[in-house]
Amino acid sequence: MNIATYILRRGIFAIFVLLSVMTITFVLSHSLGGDPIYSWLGKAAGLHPQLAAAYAAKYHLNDPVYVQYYYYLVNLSQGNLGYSPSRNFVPVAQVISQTLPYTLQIAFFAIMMTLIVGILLGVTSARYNHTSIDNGIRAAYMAGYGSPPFFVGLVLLIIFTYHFGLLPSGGAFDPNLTPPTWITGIPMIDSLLEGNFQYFGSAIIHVILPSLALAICFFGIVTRVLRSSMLEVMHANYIRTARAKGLDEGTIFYKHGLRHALIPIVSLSSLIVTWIITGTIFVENIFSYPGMGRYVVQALNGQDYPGILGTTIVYAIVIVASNLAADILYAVVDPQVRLG
Amino acid sequence: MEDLLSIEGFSVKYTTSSGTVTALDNVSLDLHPNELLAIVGESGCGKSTLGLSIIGLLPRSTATVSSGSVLYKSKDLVKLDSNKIREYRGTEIAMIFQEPLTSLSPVYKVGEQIAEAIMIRELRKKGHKVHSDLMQHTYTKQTQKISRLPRLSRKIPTDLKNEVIDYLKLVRIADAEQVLDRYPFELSGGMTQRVMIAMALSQEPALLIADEPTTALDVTTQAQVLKLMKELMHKVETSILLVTHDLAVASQVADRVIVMYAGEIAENADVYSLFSKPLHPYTSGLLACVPTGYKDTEELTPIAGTIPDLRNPPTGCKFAPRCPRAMDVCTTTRPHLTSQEDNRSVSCFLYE
Amino acid sequence: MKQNAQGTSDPTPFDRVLTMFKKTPESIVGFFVVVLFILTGIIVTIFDLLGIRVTPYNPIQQNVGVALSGPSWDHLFGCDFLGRDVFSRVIASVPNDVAVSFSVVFVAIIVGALLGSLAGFKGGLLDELLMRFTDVIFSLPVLVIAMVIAVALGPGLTHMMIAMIVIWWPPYARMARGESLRVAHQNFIEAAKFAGQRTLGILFKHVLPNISITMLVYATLDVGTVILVYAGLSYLGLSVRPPLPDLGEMISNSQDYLITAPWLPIIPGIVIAVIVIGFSVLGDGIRDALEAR
Repeated sequence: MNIATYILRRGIFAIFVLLSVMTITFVLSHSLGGDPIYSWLGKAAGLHPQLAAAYAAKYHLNDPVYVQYYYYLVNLSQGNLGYSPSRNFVPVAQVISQTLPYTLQIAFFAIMMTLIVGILLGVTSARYNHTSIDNGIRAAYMAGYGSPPFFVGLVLLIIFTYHFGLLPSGGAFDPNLTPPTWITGIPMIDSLLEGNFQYFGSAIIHVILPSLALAICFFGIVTRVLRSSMLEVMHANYIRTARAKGLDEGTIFYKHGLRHALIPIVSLSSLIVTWIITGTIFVENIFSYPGMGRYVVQALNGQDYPGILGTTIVYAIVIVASNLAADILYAVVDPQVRLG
Repeated sequence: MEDLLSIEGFSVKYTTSSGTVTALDNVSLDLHPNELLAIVGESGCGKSTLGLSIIGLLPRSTATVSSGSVLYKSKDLVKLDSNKIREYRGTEIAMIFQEPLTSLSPVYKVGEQIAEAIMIRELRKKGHKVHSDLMQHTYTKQTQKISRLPRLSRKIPTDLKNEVIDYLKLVRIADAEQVLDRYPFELSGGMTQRVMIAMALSQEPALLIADEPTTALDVTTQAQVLKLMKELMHKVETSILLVTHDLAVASQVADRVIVMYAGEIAENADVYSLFSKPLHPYTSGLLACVPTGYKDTEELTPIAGTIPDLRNPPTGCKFAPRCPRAMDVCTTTRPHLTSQEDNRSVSCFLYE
Repeated sequence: MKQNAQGTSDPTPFDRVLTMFKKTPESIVGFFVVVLFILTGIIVTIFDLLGIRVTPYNPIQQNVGVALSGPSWDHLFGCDFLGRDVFSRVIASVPNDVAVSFSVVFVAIIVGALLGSLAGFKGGLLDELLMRFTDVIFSLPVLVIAMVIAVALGPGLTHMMIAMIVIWWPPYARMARGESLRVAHQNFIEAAKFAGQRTLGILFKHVLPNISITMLVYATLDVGTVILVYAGLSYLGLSVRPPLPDLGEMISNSQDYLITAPWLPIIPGIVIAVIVIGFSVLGDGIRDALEAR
């Protein structure tokens, strides 16, 4: 099996997973107590008879279930996720397109930090294993993993914002600055492309704490796995051969040892991405970051069923897509997967 | 002709949770240039320890050299620290191991790993350190690097590539061009072992230590690899120290054979003398264990008993409890290696 | 110690626990935390059923103290914005966590072990289906799915438990499947089959005992994860509603008071962290102790 077949298989699986998610949301939209219309317009459907009628037509809500299912999928594929009561009946898809980029910003930095810190500490733990450095790192990540992301966020707020006054308490950027024009849709990238470095700088400052909170929570997963992976690898036969060849310990450790030990980390990154994206829901709330997570919380508080269901689907899409990317990366990094 | 390797009174101990194990007890031997010396013995007799200890590959945390010297070209390797000893690896002394499939890195292509070995050789020849502070180093004509960073498998530069192909052809790998692009797990056991031999020889060592190189291979492949090693030895003027548990293997290729038991040398003789006229009772016992085809109506005659506990070796000759010809003196005093005629020696009171 | 077939002593579970404490001293702390956690949950529930209040103040009664007052001897954790005693509320919310975490993991183990070992044993279509199904569930974000299910069912503790159970069992099914695959082809199973033992019997007698150790280690750590996820869902308001206390909820309700009364959101967070870390440390200790064998 070569890499193209592998990607195809994983791709089909990904689509299947998404279909499952959509089926789940479809089923749930019908069990929200009463009229399925509630899932598209919320409980206030009665107050908007025209919208309600338009809905019933669009989603064929008066037809048998399997017909509804079909049209449900059709509508979904067209990007139609309903209208959001908690946002004055603006289309859910629109709200998501405005909020998703911010969530992705946090997710990106959080994942980078988690991987970098996790790998650095994992390697250090392995090198100095069974010393106090190792134990200290272990204590740190156990503390991190055991604390919910919103708790870590609050602690960071207390320390960095209220005590030291270093970092802002909320928002994605200084409201006095002009946001960049829409090029890619992701504000930080757009500001760079435009040369709007003031905005970029402000955005960075605002994204540090939320991402850091997530990184603190999840770097432990990486560190723990890398540490045991490295310890195992250093006893392998090919390390002994590398030594017999005359390589120095440093090259052996990094070029041969780490290279092999990193492979499980790639497959672990699917898990990391899933947890981090889930975690953004909470840190956005703590830091009032205008991402999808904050929208979710507002939707939950306002019984905005369209919003809840819509964001669920989008979260699933993001996670499945990143898992697919991780799968592909895994095949690149481990030759046994694509050739064996 | 000066000896290439001269080991004198060499003892190695392992510290374990259940006591100190004397793995090598006062071992002395000489290896001449262009000679294939086989070290034969059952599992646990110390032969692997001997092989590993020559280039300092013993686990540092548990193994200690308690006495003796290992003179390689008149330099005592035991006295060198780990940095100095590393300089002998990759130029003077090379080693190949038992399980070829796990002894090569699974994430780098085979050609690249051989190329790495060649780079080490060249860098050493120039007196450069193989690593540097900058994580890379240059080699001869083009900028080749032995980078410290983990990376994806890359293409080998041309001049290196030709040399890699030469060595692959040397070990009789026909489609060398294709093989060098393969990963170790894509090759068969026999092929991988040849690659290991090629890699070891590419460093142009004067001494090649082979630790059970054919044990993991099937019999036909085994014969091929052994024959190859013997031919190469003369072609590239390398001496081979072959560690094996298999007498048949030793008989096929060795010039000289050393039989080890429980960390000591029992007998040291040229291959013909050893097999035609074994002196030590252990050697005779070993030879009798091997079933010969046409006599298979007879029962197999194993050697009674088991090897002694090396944490608490018996006083006297370690083989005495199992020896059919043991005498009283054998249980009280340790025998020493004594020279016999025909340039052989044996450690047994029968001959003192 | 009991004697086993070779005449040497087989370590009893008690001995193993002691070895664990010796090997990893921090697991003593974890053990202590876990025991305290469970006991608190049980005691509070029992006394609740008996109608006796075991906390210093009534957890839902307002104005037992000055609102937003800090920790004092009277109110160990201070009072919240409605004047309720935070310490009592924290204690009163422990049973929720105990109930959710243990029941979710317990049911997940049972469902997973049964399904998984059956699938691994029988193989074929059942096995394929299980693998694909668990593959899909693994790819989904646990919290998000639990969230939607909880929304569909409505807020409340039991609904939350159901929502979590539905997605929590796959890892156990995988473990059981792997183990039963390994065991299924061994000779003594063939012998049992020849002797006429039925599948379920074989499963119970031979397959399941072997799995239980791996599962025990995983389950201990898993309980901690359940508590974390549950705290998140409760933070989102999907579990017990106010005025009833719940740790995650207490944090989300008081996070606006971070500057004026930081102990209000922080203390429940610390409690959650301590409990989860306790389970992690204990689980690690168990794993280390078992590995030594």
